[in-house]
This record gives sequence, C-alpha cells and structure tokens, in this order.
Amino acid sequence: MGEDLQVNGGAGGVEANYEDMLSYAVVLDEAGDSLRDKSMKLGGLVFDGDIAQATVLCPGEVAGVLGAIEEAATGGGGALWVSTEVEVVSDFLRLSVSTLRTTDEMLAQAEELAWTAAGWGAGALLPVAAMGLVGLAATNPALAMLLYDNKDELLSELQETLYDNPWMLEALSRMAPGMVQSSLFSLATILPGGPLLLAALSGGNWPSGDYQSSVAGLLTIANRFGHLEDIGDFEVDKAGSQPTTVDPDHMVRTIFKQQYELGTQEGQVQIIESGDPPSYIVQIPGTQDWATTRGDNPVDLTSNLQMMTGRSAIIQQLVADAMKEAHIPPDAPVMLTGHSQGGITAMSMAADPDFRRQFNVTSVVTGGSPIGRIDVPDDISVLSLEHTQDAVPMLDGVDNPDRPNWTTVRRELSDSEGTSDGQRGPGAAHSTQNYATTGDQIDRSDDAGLDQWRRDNEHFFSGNGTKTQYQISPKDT
Amino acid sequence: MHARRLVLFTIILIVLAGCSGSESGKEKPSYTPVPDQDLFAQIDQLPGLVSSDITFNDSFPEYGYVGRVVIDPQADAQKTLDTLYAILRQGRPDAGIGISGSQGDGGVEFELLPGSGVGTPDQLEERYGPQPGDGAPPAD
Repeated sequence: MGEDLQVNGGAGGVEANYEDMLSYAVVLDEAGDSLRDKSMKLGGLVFDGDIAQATVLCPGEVAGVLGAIEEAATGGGGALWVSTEVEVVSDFLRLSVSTLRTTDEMLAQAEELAWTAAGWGAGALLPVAAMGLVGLAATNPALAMLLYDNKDELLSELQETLYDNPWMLEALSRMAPGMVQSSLFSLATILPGGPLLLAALSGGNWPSGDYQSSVAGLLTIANRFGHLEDIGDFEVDKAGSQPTTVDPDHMVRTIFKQQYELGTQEGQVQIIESGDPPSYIVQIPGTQDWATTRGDNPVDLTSNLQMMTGRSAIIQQLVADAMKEAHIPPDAPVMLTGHSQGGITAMSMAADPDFRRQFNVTSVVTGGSPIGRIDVPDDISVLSLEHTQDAVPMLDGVDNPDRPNWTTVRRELSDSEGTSDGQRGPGAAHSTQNYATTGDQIDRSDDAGLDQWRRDNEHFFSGNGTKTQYQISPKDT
Repeated sequence: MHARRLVLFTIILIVLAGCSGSESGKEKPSYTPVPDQDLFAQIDQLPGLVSSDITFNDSFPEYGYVGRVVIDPQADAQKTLDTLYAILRQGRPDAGIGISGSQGDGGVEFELLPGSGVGTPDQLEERYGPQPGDGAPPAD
C-alpha cells in the first residue's frame, strides 16, 4: 500500500529529526543544569551547621560521610562531573545540527550555482548549434526534407525520451534560467551594443544567476512589448452549488478528483464547506489560458510568471473575493488546494500576511506545482504531490524544503499512466487524474508522516458537504 | 547575403514546423470513436438521469470526459453511473472519465471502478475491457 511513494519532509523528515535533536539538547541541557544545582547543594552540606556540630561529637564518622558527599558532588564521576558531561553532549548536539544545516544549505547553494553555470554554458552554445544545424540543412536539402518529413516522429521520440529519463527534465529545468538568458545574450551580440540593450530591456534584472531575477527579467521584457501584463478589472459571482461527499477515507483523492472537475470550468474557484462548526476547502484551478496577453480569464500564463517572481497577482485577490462572497468566518479553518498554477496561487496566498489576517489558513495541498521557493509560516501544514516525470513542479529549479510542516510526496508513473491520446510524454504526467490516483495512494499509505497529516486535516472531511463555484469574469464597463 | 539566407531558411523551417500538427508520431486508434455529441445524446436518454453536464476536456494536461450529473432519487446511482461510463468508453481513445453525481441532498461517488477509482484509462479498461465496447457495463 503506497509502496511507490517517496515521502520527504513532514513529521518524518530530516528537518523534523534536526528539531528532535535540538529538543533532546534542551532536555539534556536542563538535566545538566539541574544536576549541577544538586551537586552544589550537596557540596554545601560540608559547611552545614548541624554537620559541624556532629563533627564535634563523632569526628571520624562525619569525616567519612563528608568525604563520600564531596566525592558524590564534585569528585570524578560525581554530579558536577556528570552535569558537565551532559551539557557538553547537549552543546555537541546543537553544534551538530547547526553544522548539518549549514552543510545542507551550502550544498544546495553550490548545486544551484553549478546548474546556473551549466545553463549559461549550454545557452551560449544553443544559437550556434541551431545555426549550424540550419546551415547544414540549407546546404543539404535532402537532409532538410528528411528532418521535415519525420519531424512528428522526432518530436514524439523526444517526448518519450524525456518521459523515460526524468533526470533530463530535471537538468533542463535547473539550467533553464541561465540557458534562456545566455541564449538571448548570445543572439544579442549580433547587434552593436546588443547585450547592453538586452540588460536594459530586462529592467536591470539580467544578467543574473538568481532564479526570481531571471523570471522577472523575462517578464519585464515581455511587458515592454505589451505581453504578460497582470492587468484587468474582474469580479467574482456565485455560479452554482451542489451536494458532495468529502469522505475521510479518501481525503487527498477527493481533493484532486474535485480539482479535475473544476479545471474544466473556465475561471472558476470552488469552495467546499463541511462539518459543524464548518471547515472550508478552497480549490483553485491550474492554468487555463496560455495566451501571452490577458484575456477574460486571469487563470493564465501571466499569473504563472507573475507569482513565480514572488510578486502578488490579481488572481490571489480574486480567490480572496470568492472566500468573502462565501462568508467564510475569519476563525474558521481553511485549506487551500490547487493543481499546477492553482498550487502556486494557494501557496502565494498562504505566504501573504495580509491574507492570513483575514482568513485562518491552516493547510495547503498542491499537485504538480513549482512552489519550492515560496515560504509559508511553520503553523501551516503543506502537502505537495509531484510525479517524477512531471516537468511542471521542477520549474522552480529547487527541491521543496524539508520541513516538519511540509510533506512532499513523489511517485513514478507507469508507462500507461503517462500515455494520453496515443502519446507517452511528460504532459500526461501532469494530469489531475494521475494526481488523484497518487492522492488515493497517499490516503492508503501507512507512512507515519502521512498518517500525521491525515490526523491534522481530518476535520476538513466530515462525510457530506456542499461545493459552491464562484465565477471570475471581467467587470462590466 | 549568405547569413540573410540562413535566417530566412530558419524562419521558414520554424513556421512550417509550427503550422503542422503532431499527429503522425502518435499511435492511431484501432477503432472509429463515436462522436462526442452522439455520446452525450445517448446519455441524455439514459433512464434514471435527471440532468447531465458533460464535456470532453483536452486542454493541457487533461484528456478525458468530465462533468456532473443529477441522478433521480429513485434510481440505482451506481448502476446509472456504470452505464454512463460504458457509453463514454465508446468515445475517444485513451480518454479518462471523471463524472461526479448528486442524488437528492447528497453527493454520489462512483464505486465500481477498480484501484483508486478516479477513472484513468487503465482502470476503465480493467472494468469495461478494451475500447470501444458496446456501451453496456459488465454484467456483475
């Protein structure tokens, strides 16, 4: 049951173990303090008035007792000695945790630096390789025709290769920020002053080895040409309501089955209310509009990139408006869930202190979302589902942090699960139905961390509930 | 001049690649799928169904039939959904199916699919056999 799942973070994660070690260090430190205190009191008996009187009456016996007391208090193996040992062990534990954390952090930084450098290197070669290929094809029309005639097979093979070798996806996604910049800078060298112009167009964000600056640069350039602008006036209205089941035995499966259905409704947010007093599951769909200019639906590519830079997006306010429309009380427990972009929106909202002052967000569940760089408070439980062959959650270029409140579950899909419309590829690995299947395995898993997550969140699944959809649409002018 | 020709050739190649679909790399279906509108019309006639709102969703990354149905309070909800799924199996190849139902004041989960029961192509094949089937659920 759930044997295919790889669970990181959460109650059984590395950071949770570090925190356990620090807790033990505190206990040992307190025990050491207490023992030292006792040894001092014991040692103080030597100067006790009563004992001084007894010394006059039985000097030999009292001397023996005092010797034993002194030995127990300050002698080798005595209380003072043991208290010192205990405190040294406590300090050693603290130091070990600190060293391990620093090492983890440095390794992560070094890894990111290496990937960025690799991206810059590969990106510089890309235009040259592309031009070389085109040059070869131009001078060899037979080869060009062969490539053109077989391009669909080549694309199909490429998709299957990426699906079968997810490490390639991982490498490409980690190199992407450097690769995009480097390719464009290489191309820009064709123009006199081109690289300087590109840096200026990016608003000074490029060149950069920093992920968020890389995305911000891309967004700034696109904005200058009227693309990827997070603009528009929208409103939120109640669209429909139905009874639904929120089965406590199928918590995560239910979330993603509902996300699957919600994804087909253009620009809708869904809120499931259940229990007494009620708890609320707020569901946000994944990207629905891939155009580079804002249309009638802000669940689009622009919102993706906007939030990936760490900036707030209009969609966040619209989801909050739907929650106000649903009259969610400020103290009622709220779980935010989302697939793909929906997960980015959910995490960005949970990370926003202003939003948290309005609603009591206690839990976030994401599927196939690149959210590793979004920080939420420790008292919010996060459950993130990722598929090994899904490129989308890799787009943040980092692993999700290993924290006691943040559990990441990864699963490798079968070939048939990765096949859609006759084609095996990473696209199918991102589907909500596959995430619902992973959710079902999580529901049945006996992993201690997942069991803890279920106990912490079972109040959101009390059997029967009502789901209500809220429509986001442009304001009438 | 030579460089300009190279750039022109690159643009033509990109445009041609972009204009053509990517169909020939996929496996061809071994049957002729029943058109969606015909499937939905069959579903509208299904006994025990009060209303249905089903669509085919092929927007990235999904590929399947999805929607909501309202089932008559007197009808056998599982049997009704089983027949509905069997009808949809005659449609597009490798399509998932995810239909949620409600009956009276409660929601209905379709419980006859094996495994996780979310309606992936694997689970559908296990229950209904290879596509397209005959539109009838297995007699169990």
